[in-house]
Amino acid sequence: MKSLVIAKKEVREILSEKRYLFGFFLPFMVASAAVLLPELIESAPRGVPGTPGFVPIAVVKGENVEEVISFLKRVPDLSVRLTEDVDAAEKLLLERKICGFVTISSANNEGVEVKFVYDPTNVKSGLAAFLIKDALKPLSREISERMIRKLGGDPSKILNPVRVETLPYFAPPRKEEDFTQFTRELGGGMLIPFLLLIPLFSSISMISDSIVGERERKTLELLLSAPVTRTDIFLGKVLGILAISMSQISLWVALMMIAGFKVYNPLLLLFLFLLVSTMVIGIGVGISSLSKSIREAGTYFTFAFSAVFLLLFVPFAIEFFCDSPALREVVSISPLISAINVATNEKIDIYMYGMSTVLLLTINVLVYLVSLVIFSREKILE
Amino acid sequence: MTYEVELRGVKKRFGSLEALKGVNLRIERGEKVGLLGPNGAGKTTLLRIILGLISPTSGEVLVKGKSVLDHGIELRRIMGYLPEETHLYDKLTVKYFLQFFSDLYDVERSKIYEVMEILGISSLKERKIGTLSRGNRRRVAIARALLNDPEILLLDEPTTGLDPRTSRDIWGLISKMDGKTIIMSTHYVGEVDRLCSRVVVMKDGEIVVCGSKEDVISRASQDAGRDLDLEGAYLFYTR
Repeated sequence: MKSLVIAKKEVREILSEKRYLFGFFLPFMVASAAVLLPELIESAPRGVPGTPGFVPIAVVKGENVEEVISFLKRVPDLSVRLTEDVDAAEKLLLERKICGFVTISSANNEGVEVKFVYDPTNVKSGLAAFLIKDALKPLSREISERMIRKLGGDPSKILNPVRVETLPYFAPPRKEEDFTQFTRELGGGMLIPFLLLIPLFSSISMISDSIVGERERKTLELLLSAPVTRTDIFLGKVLGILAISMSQISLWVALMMIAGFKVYNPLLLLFLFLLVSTMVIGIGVGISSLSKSIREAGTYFTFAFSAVFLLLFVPFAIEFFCDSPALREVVSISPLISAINVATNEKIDIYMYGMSTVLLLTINVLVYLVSLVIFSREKILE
Repeated sequence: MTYEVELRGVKKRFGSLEALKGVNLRIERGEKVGLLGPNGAGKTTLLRIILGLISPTSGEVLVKGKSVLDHGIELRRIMGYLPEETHLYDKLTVKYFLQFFSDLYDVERSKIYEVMEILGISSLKERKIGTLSRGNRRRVAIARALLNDPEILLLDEPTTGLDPRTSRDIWGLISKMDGKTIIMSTHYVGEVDRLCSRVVVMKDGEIVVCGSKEDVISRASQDAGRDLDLEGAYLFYTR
């Protein structure tokens, strides 16, 4: 119970440090970047302006569409494809295969009414609108000449026989099934390690500071003079940092779910994260108790932290890039792979999850036994 | 007879430095003992060993007849400690700081208000410790040491670096603590003269003289061959 008292004090002290609060926002920035980056990559213009097919558009089939298409096709930058109907064109637009589509609302010998529906988030749309208008100018002139030859018709249409109206297209709200495969993989596979990595990464300074920081500030003597055991102090330090890291991780899991990413089995996922965080923080606090200064603790812990995450990510890489089923089977009990499997599958493999949990619990027991043995009341005061 | 504090041949070595060289000391209940000695005499090490913060290289430390090493948690409940330097948790408020230690000592929360009142820091309870003056920080540290109403109070240079008014307030407080066993290390002979019933003079990790003020003065006068006061006796034994 004394460790809870110490943990509460730790949380209070940590939260009073503005630099630690930055750690709460770091995952948000990374998650935003992770989500926005693919969108930006997809919307970024490809190719070189002036080369054939740089601006892809579609033209919806309709009456007298051939004449319009024949003029559009004279512009080399435009890549024109014909679609059966507006739905097919919208689908292409949503898939970002075109930057807009053209519909011909009426066309006869006296004039043509053209609508260009464009994607406002695509930077090529403005160029497309300009090129379409430019391409249809000769058509406009040809129709005018035709009408003048006939000496009849509406004068306004003689002056302006082709009207091109541009309309922005706003996509309907996304449903779960609209998410691209990439986004789903990003949510399940890529953001999960980030959720774990970043709160722990932003805790490095808290962890390094935990014991040796108190020693440097000479407050440890006060704490040790109270009726508390070294286990109370050690666990109090771990629990305080763990509470902050886990609240961050839980927050980001909740936000991912609110944002529409499908995260299955959140409680089982959080339990795995809890075990990994406990292990990392235990190692860090142990290092802090052995170090002579905060800087030394920070250096050693960064090495240890890198080693731990390398061990976590090696199976992750094998799972994704290796074809050997036997090796994949072995690495599937890795905590990170297990976390991804738990988060992305509604039905989990209980055996694999259990194996991961047992593996983490065993490592945790070893880490805490070693840390408590080396955490000597006397040494930390010297 | 069970002594309140008893040290039997206590030695402490830090690497090649022998900080304590076989200290023997017996302190009875209610005694106010002043540890005098120059820097490096071993006063702070002695207090830390009595509290169980560090263990002796050899020898035995008993508090109320129990080994500090074996019964550390139990014995620290009845001891209060004021370290030499006032390093506190600067980001915590005075009230939360005392609350934290009251929880560690399993003391009623009402005790916090009592000690704040005694030390005259009630008006500072919502202030962060880091914003307090040196004198007020010392008062907060003393309030912490008194939270558990300790039977044995270990004070390491309680008034060093404080202004005369604050020092006087602290002396007044210590002099009113009847019934408590107080072991106080200090550089100020006047402080010991004013507050303590017994004097222990240390030099280079050894006790060079120990006894009541009168005993120490008369022994020093005899050894020096001239009349000395307490300060003279101290200077004579630490020359």
